[in-house]
Amino acid sequence: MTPDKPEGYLEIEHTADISLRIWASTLKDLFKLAVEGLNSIIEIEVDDTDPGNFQEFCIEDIDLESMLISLLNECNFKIQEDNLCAKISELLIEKEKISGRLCLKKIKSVRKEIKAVTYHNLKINHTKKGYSVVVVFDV
Amino acid sequence: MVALTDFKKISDYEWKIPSNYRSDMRVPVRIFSTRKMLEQSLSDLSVEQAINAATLPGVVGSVVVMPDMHQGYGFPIGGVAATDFSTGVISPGGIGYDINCGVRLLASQIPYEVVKNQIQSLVIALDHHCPSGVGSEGGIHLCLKELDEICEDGSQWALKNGYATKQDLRRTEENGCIPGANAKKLSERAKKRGLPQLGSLGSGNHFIEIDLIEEIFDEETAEIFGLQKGNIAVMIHCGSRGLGHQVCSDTVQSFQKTIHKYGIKIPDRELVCAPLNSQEGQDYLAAMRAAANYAFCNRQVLAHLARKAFEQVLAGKFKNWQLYQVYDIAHNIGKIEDHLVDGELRKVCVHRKGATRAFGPGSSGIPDEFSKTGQPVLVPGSMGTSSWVLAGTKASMERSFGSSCHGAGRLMSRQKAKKTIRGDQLKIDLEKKGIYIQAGSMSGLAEEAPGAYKDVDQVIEAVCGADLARKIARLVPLAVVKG
Repeated sequence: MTPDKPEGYLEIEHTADISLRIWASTLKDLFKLAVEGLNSIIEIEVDDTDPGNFQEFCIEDIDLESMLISLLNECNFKIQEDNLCAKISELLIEKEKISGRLCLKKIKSVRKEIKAVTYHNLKINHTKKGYSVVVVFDV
Repeated sequence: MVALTDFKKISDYEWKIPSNYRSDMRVPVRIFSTRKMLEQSLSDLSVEQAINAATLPGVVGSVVVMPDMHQGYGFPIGGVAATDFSTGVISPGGIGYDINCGVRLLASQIPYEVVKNQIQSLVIALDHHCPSGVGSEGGIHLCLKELDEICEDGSQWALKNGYATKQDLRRTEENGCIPGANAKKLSERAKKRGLPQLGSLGSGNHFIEIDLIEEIFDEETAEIFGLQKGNIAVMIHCGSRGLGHQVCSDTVQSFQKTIHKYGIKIPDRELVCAPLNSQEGQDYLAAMRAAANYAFCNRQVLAHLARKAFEQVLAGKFKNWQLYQVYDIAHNIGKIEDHLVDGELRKVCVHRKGATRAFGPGSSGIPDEFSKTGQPVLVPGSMGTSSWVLAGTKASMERSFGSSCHGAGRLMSRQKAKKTIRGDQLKIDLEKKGIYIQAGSMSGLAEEAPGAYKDVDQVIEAVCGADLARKIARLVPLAVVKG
C-alpha cells in the first residue's frame, strides 16, 4: 500500500516485463483501477469524439485473482482486436462471479503491446487499510 | 532471498543449488554463469523462479539456467526444465506467452565493402516490406482454412505458396513443422488474433537486423554454415504474435482448475501445469505446437519479405545479392526429446524458455550438413553490440538437455531504461557508430537500448567456458528495424 494516497496504481521494478502495484479501499475500486492501470501502461489515446458503447460482462472463475486476470485479459483483447478501450462503469463482485458493464470507446493510438496478463505471484491482499495486488504484464 | 553462499561452485562457469535447499524441490538447479554474472542475477527473482521450477511434478535431472537469465514470470528467462514424458507435467508458463519466439539468420555472399553505401537504403526497404510495431498486421489475407493449414503444416505452407525454398525448410528446427499440432485445439480468439498477423514482426524486443560478419572463429564450420568474414547477413527475431499469446493465456487460465483436479501443488500460480499424459496436457501440447508452427511460418514469410527488400535495392546493381538460410531456431518452446538422465535414456518434455536448442554433433533431428559440426546456435545481442553464431556440442547434450543461451538477457527494467535513456538521443548515438535505426517508437527504442542488457560477450564466454556451445562467428549490427 502507498500511504499518501488512498487508492492508485504504480509501476514497480521488473527486469523484463511490467509490474503494476494497485491499491484501493474497496475491492470494486481495486478492479476498476486495475483496468485503468492496464490502459495507462499501454499508453492509450482515446478518441474523445466517440460517445462510447456499453457492454455487459459476466466472468465466473475459481477465485478473485482468476476473475481479475480474466477481466484484464478481456480488456486487453478488446484493445488489440477491436481497437476499443474499456473502463468499468458498473461492477458487482460475488464469491466466484463478477458482472457489470464496460464502457468502450474507440482508440486513436496505442504505444505499447501487452502480450498477456500473468498470474505470477498473484495474490489480492486485504488489510485494515484496504486491498492491494501486484500484477505482472508480459510485454 | 538466495545468497551466493547457497551455491556450490562446480567450475568457473557452473554453479549448483542442491535439491535439499528447499523442501519442495525435486531436483537441483544448475546455473551456467560466471561468478560476476551470477551475482548480478541475484538482484532479481530469477534464481527463486528456477528453484520454483524445480518443484514441478516429474521434473528430471536438474533445472538448468543460462547466463543470460533474468526474472520472468513463473519460470526464469534462460531456464530449461525437462519433465518425464510418462509421469511428468507440461507447464505453459515454462514455454512462455510468445510460443516459438525465435531467431532466423540469413547469410549472403555480399561483401560489406561493396554495399556499404546501400545499407541505409536496405534498412528502409526492410522497414517498408516487413510490417512492424504495436498491432502490426501482415500483408497476407488468410481465410480460416489457410490459418489451420499454417498451424498444422508450419513452413510447409510457405513452401507450397512460394514464400520458401526447400533449403529454408531443411535449415529450420523441426524443418519448420512440429508434428502433432492440431488447429482444432485453438480457441476462436487465438485464430482471430492469428488471421491478420502472418508476416509481421510485432513490437517489444523483436527486430530485423542487418549484420556484418566481423570475425570467424572456426573457418571449417563457418563455411558449412555458409558464413564468410566481411559479408553481410540478416537476423530476424520474432514469434507467434497474438495467436501464441492467446494459446498461453487460454491455457494458464484453464489450468488454474486443472491443478486442483490432479492434486498438483505449485509455489507460483504462473507455473500451472497438467500431466503430459492427461487430456488437458495433450490438448495444450497440440495447441502449443500449432502456435509454434505459425511462428515458423511467420519468420519464413518475413524472410521472404526481407529477400524482396534486398531484391528491390540490390538487383541489377550487384551480383549474388541473394539471402540464403543459415538456420532458424526456437527459444520459447516445449519439445518431446530423448535425453540421458542419470545414465538412462528417457523421453522427456524439454521446456526451453529463453533458451536455444544446441544439439551437438551426431544428434538426430539436425540437418545432415551439420551432423559433424553440431547445429547452429543463434544468439542475438542488443542493438549496438555483437550477435553470435555458436555450434552445439556433445557436452550440451549431457549437461543442459542440448540447450544453450538465447541472447544477452535484460539487466535493467523498461521503466528505468526509459528514465535514463532518451530514444531520440540513442538513435543519434547509434547512427554516429554507423548503425542505422528504423523504429516506430522512440520510447520503445529507449526500452531496448543496449545499456538495458547484459554484455552478450560475457554470456558467450560463460556458455563456451561451460562447453555448452563453441564460437563460430561474431556479427556486428549495421542497421536495425525495431518493432
